[in-house]
Amino acid sequence: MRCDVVRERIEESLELPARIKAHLQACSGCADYVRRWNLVQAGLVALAKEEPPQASLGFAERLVRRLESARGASQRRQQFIVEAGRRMVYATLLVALMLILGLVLPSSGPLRTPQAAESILAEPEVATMSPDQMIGIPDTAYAPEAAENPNGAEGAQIK
Amino acid sequence: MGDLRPEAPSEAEWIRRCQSGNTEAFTPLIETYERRIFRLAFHLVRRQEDVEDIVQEIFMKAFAAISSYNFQSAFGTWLNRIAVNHCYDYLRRRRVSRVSYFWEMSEEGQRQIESTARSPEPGGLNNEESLAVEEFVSKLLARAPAEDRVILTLKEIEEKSVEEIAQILNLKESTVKVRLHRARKRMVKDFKNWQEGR
Repeated sequence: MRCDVVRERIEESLELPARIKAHLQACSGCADYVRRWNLVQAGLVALAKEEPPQASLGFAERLVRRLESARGASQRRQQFIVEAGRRMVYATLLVALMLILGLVLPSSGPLRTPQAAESILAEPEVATMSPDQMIGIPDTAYAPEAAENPNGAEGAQIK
Repeated sequence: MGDLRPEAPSEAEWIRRCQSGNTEAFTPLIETYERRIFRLAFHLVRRQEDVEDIVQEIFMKAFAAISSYNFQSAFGTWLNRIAVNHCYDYLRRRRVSRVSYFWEMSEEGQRQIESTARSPEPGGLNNEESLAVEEFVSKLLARAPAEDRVILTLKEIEEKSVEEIAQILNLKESTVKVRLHRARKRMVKDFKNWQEGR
């Protein structure tokens, strides 16, 4: 009989069959194993008899209070996450709306004055005109000053 | 005339209330299983001063996970599984290096272990011998890997069947048997190493 089979059987049962007993008489290694295992088992049985400590007074109540406060904290955290998420969505929508408006509306602001709006409505080709032309300022109106002023037409207009 | 007192809710009813978020409904469940979990945690970690905190954490985890309990196994088994997993993590975190020596037994204790180990039947130990053996095995266990410690404690100290252990550890019964044999073999080997190295 193989030693590892014998050892496995020894661990599992108290009543040993004759074959195993015979093996133990012939094999000193297995006999030593049995003695050691029996001692370890005796120690484990003694450990099982040790009484665990008692729960302190009010253990269950304290635990439930702790659970409640943990639950409250997690609810607050969840609320915060929901609120933050909602604000993120609003902010994203606002940015998206601004982008859409920026794309849809002409960049040069043709609708700033009612006259310009009328002229646009009357002559659609005016959209290709420069902004100054649209509001009726001739190109030459400030040309001399513009030539003198390095800041350009805008600076001249301010003057 | 029949008894008109309202019947106390069953365990399943308390569990359902907990699943719907009622923390108060957890009190009767704690009270029912407190002793059992204290015992299990104590035998697994063997640290008197830490047991209460560990048990508290086990119940906290159980409440947090109670919505996943599906009544397929007994609530006690489900709770044992959480307790064993929690203690297993604790043991792995706190594990003493296998290299470090822990044999701080008294000379007398060591002599007693030696003489008992040589005797053919350690069954009839006297009080002193029994104490020495207990201390010795407690140290052997402390030095064992967390996996061995858990499986040996469940089988030899908590006296659970292989089937129960398989349920708690979520393993096949054949795997439990293999691990048990391996753990026992390692304990005996450690014992032998101690005898030879002393």
